[in-house]
Amino acid sequence: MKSCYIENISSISPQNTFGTEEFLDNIVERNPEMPYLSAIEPDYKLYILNAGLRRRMSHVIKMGVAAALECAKGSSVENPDAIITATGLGCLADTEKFLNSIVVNHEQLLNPTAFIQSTFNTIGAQIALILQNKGYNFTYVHRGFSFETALIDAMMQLTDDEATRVLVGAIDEITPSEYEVTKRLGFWRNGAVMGEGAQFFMLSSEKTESSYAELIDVHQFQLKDNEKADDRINSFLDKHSLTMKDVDLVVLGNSGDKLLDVPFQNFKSEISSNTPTAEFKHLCGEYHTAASFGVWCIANILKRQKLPFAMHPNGKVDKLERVLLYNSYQNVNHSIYLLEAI
Amino acid sequence: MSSYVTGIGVISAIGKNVKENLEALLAKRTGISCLTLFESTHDVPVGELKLSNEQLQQMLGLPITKTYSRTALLGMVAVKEALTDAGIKTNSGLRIGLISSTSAGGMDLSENFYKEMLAKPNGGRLRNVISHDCGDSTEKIADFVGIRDYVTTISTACSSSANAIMLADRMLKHNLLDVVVAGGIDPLCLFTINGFSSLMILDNELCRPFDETRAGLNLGEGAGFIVLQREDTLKDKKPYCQLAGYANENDSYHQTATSPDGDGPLRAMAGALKKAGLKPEDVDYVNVHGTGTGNNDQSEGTALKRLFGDKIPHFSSTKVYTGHILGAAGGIEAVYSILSITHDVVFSTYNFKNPMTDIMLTPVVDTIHNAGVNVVMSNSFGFGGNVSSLVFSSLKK
Repeated sequence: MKSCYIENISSISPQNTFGTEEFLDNIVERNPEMPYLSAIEPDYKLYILNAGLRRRMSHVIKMGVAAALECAKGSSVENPDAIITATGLGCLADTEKFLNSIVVNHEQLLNPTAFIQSTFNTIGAQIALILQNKGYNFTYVHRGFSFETALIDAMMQLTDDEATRVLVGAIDEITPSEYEVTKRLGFWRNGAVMGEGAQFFMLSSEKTESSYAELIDVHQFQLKDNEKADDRINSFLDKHSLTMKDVDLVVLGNSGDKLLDVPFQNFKSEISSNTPTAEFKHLCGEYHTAASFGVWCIANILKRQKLPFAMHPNGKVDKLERVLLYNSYQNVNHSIYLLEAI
Repeated sequence: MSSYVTGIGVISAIGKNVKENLEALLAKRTGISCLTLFESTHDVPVGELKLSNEQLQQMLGLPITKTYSRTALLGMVAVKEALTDAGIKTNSGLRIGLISSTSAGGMDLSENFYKEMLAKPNGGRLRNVISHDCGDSTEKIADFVGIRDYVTTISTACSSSANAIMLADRMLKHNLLDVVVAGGIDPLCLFTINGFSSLMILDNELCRPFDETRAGLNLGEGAGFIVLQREDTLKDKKPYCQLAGYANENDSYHQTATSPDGDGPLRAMAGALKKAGLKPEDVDYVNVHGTGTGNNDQSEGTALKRLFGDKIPHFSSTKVYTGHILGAAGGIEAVYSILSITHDVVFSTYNFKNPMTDIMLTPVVDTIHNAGVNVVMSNSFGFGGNVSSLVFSSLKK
């Protein structure tokens, strides 16, 4: 595939990541009264100008649309050739709202707004409507593979010259009942913390002065019998004629769950102690598309040539030219990303 | 270079396999009837598959004691049929992917969970909520048929499975996979029945696509998948036809309605033809989106006239047989389009009577045999302005 450059990025997350020049300088800890990491929301009036539209939009739509518009605005071309969104659970609050109205109103005289907005491609569609974008518009909804397929799709578009700029974003929200259900399912029993957020990336086939990083490749996989993640990571590097020695930093998407993080422990023990590692899910929380926060961090690391203390508290790095991200969702959906400095 | 269709699989209200679906289409036998599988206060006709989940599990040889979403079960039937039809073994060393799509995901189970959870905190059986997300059915189907190399899921409302087929072709071209099973699934559930009812676009009678008297759509359920391969992996397998072209565009007009001038649909159809290197006059049959809603058929009809001018090819909506199967519509209608080419037949919208006064287009009302079908276009338009068009062509073209 052809080179693919990250021209602009944006993030609405549980950290101060939106509308600021700082990069994880002042870490926001979880509110001890809350069991999860909620996103810090901007003043949406500044981003979604139509008041009626803004009022109708749910939390996840506002996060997605504001992050997308901010990312597009800071790019050399505001209107991309394609818009690709990724989400694990889509517009969950609207889904619950409509389900609730079915039960409470006994299926009669229901307001369609929540139903309309519950559709998984609502955020991608709203971005297109606001930008009056008539191009390719896809939404991927596959757990810990949603964001990965979105990036692969974008890279294919750029390689085929079907697009020169693709806006790719990942969005997921927390709802109180989702927290209760996942808690009952044991998701937060072993150390992981639930999170949410919206990350958008303007990908371009052209390098510009302000580009953040080059996205070299993305690979998603499920482990077959007796297979280890290390083998897949090594063969991924091998495909690019690289070994772990050529990687300056490994960013790990471990969730903090001591049972599910086993592949990360194995991987860390495999790689040489000369390769520094960093983490990010303690900052954004765990969700289907949390890897997008990791990619947002790496784009910043490569552009600013700075590794935040919060991601890598003990140690130092010699250089920051090539970064590998290994992510896993529930130890089922695994993915590897390779990024390089411009 | 286009990819080749080597296998097809379908399950819908008109049959649990390709053979039964084809027989019903040829005989003009609709599957639209009363809802029987669950209770709803809406008395609307639906394209329901008259098999319970338990019967589907038995059919698939799955343990009756386990809980599966209807989405996963319908998908397993169609994906298994498509792979068997293509003669693809999942342990053959080829890199095989499953690209599925759905609008409802595991909602058929989770809507029951939610009701119980509303009634009392900690209520609801967890096994009814773990398959809620759209990726669950894809992973269950992949496990069932033994696909381990690649899975992903698309959800762009009613164009979902047409888009899954596009992604499949592009991944084959980029040599990321050797074989892809692509399509979509949607089950009937309270959520969608109430959703479309709240939009007041469900017809209380059999839907009447492209008819002046049309009053909305009938929902249906099912799954449709096709197997796509690159030429170099075909070996001695004779494909059905080629996926010649496709396009996805955004109408960018309204969250739920399509533009009255059919601008988005026109760009999708013209884009698909351009990619196929074909002209409008090459198209022999259009399997239209044709939902039977006032808005869709007016918009799509206008787009057809703008693209084809006075020479409108044969066209019909097969939704009078299956109902509108939302995320699965593009996959199921892709299967029907492929059948149209391989059996040289044009399917009908048998109950059509009165042309729309402003558009005056008449769909095919009787099955046409020996129709000379080489190129078929299949349209799927969804919420969010998501408009998609696929073009299949016989190997002669």
